[in-house]
Parts: sequence; structure tokens; C-alpha cells
Amino acid sequence: MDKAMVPLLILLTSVLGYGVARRLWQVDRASLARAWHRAMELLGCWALVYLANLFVGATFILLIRLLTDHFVSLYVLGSIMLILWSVLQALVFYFLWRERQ
Amino acid sequence: MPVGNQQSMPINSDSRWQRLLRLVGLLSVLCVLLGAYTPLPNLLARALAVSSRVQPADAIVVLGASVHRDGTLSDQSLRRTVQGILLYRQGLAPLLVLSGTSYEGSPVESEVRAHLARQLGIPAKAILLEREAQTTAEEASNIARTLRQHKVQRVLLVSDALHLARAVPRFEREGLTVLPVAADGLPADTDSPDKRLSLLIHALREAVGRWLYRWGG
Repeated sequence: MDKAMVPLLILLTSVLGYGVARRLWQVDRASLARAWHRAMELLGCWALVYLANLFVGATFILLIRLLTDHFVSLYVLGSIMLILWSVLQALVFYFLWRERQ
Repeated sequence: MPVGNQQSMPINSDSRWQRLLRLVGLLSVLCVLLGAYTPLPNLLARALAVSSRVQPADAIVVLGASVHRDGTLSDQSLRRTVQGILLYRQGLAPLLVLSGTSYEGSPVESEVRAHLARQLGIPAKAILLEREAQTTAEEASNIARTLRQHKVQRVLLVSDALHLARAVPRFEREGLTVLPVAADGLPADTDSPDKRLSLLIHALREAVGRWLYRWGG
């Protein structure tokens, strides 16, 4: 039951949220599908930005190690801050891209 | 007509991007769901992890993890150190090699470990320290160099089960006979979504590390 708690909570608040949105904003199922697509685009944008940060970061660290006496651990790329900064970057890039459309 | 063509080009281009981003987004969701709610991370960890082979050897090598700035060992480091001390106290080898450097102003990990080992009854003359190595590869080459001077051939290598998958081949490449000892057991029985995701990230990181070591030497 403990493990099912979070998925059930998300299901419940999603259904409630959709119900409220239908009443307040008169949205239909097509709007929900479009919102899902946008959410996936945004998430995809974050994933690509995060992977790019990991790749550039790893290359940068290996170059620092190769060209200088300074040691930087690859473990710094596991920082939660990299994920959070990547979210901000992805939001900006995504809306910049949407702006162009 | 030329105007229509000019307008349609960016729209097609954006549609391709939209499809790509949606696909990547969907794959990300699937990865998280598979990682959190299926035994995939457990299977991956089981495939990567190295099982212990505890037998008498010439030396016990405890690989570094990390130490906090206040001088307390991290959980990982403490677990490995205690495992090394237990192996020594079982009489499995006459030498205990403790590895670990200083991290961003912290005390030297191997010295903190040696202090603990002495307090737990390990004679100072049985302890060797590796203070400089920053990576597993450096630990392997530095420790192998030291052990050659002591005519050591066969070592009990203590680390985490997943890290051993990367460390064992690196020490073997230095000409040592390696008996792995996992300080944390096989992390394969985790079944909560959070721990599974954490295990998946750990296993993927070690898999990439192993690949880099094989590729980069």
C-alpha cells in the first residue's frame, strides 16, 4: 500500500485538476492532449539540455585534467544543482523556440 | 507561391523538432517509470556487481571513498574501512593498505582511516597508506607500486560491489591477483521506487566508468 500511495495521489490530483480546469476554463480533451504534447516537448528539451551539459562538462573536466595539474572529479556532474540549472536553461530555450513559431 | 514555400519551410522544420522533443520527453518518462517501478535497476546492478571471494592473501587494500571536512569518514568510507579491519582481524592478510586523499580542504582520508584502525587494535607497522591518488586508476598504479616493494602478489580488494566491477580489472592490469570483497553486499534487493532510481543512476555511472576505463586505459 505504501508504494502505491504516490501513484494514487498523483492520479487523484490529476483527475481533480482536470475536473477543475474543465469547469473553470471550459477545456476539452483535445486541449488536454495538446497540453500533454507541450509537457513532453518541455521534458524532452530538458533531457537534451541535461545530456548536453553532462557531455560538455565531462569533456571540460577531462581537458582540465589533461592540460593542467588541477584535479576535478567527474562526480561533480552528479550534482543536483546541475539538474536544477538545466531545468532553468531548458525552460528558457523552450520558450525561446516557441517564441519563434 | 514563393511566399507559401517560404512559410512552410520553418513550420516543417519546427514539426520535426516538436516530434523529436516529444519522443525524447516520452522516453524520459518511460525510463523513470521503468527505473522506479520495475526490477530493471536490480537486474542491471546484479549483472554489474562483483561477488566477494574471501581467501587468505598477502595484503588487504581498502579503496578510498570520501571524508568530510570535519574529519568524519563518509558512510561508504567507514563501511569499507571496517570491512578491511575485520578481514585483518580474521588473519586473512598481514598488511592493511588504506587509501584516500584530501578532498577540498578535508583531512587526508587514509590518515583518518589509519587512526581508526589503530584505535581498533591494528598494529601501526601493519598499515600502509596511499595519500595521493585521486581516481581508481591512480589508486591501482600507486598501490601496486608500493606493494611490489613488499613482494605482495595477492590482494583482497575492498570496495562497494558496483565499484569493484571497475576496480578489479584495473588492479589486475597492474599484475596483481585480486580477490574482491564487497563492503556493501549486492545492492540488488532494493524495491522502493526512490532506492531503485538511485541504484539505477549508480549502476549506470559505474557502467560508464567501466567503459571509460576499458576505452581510455
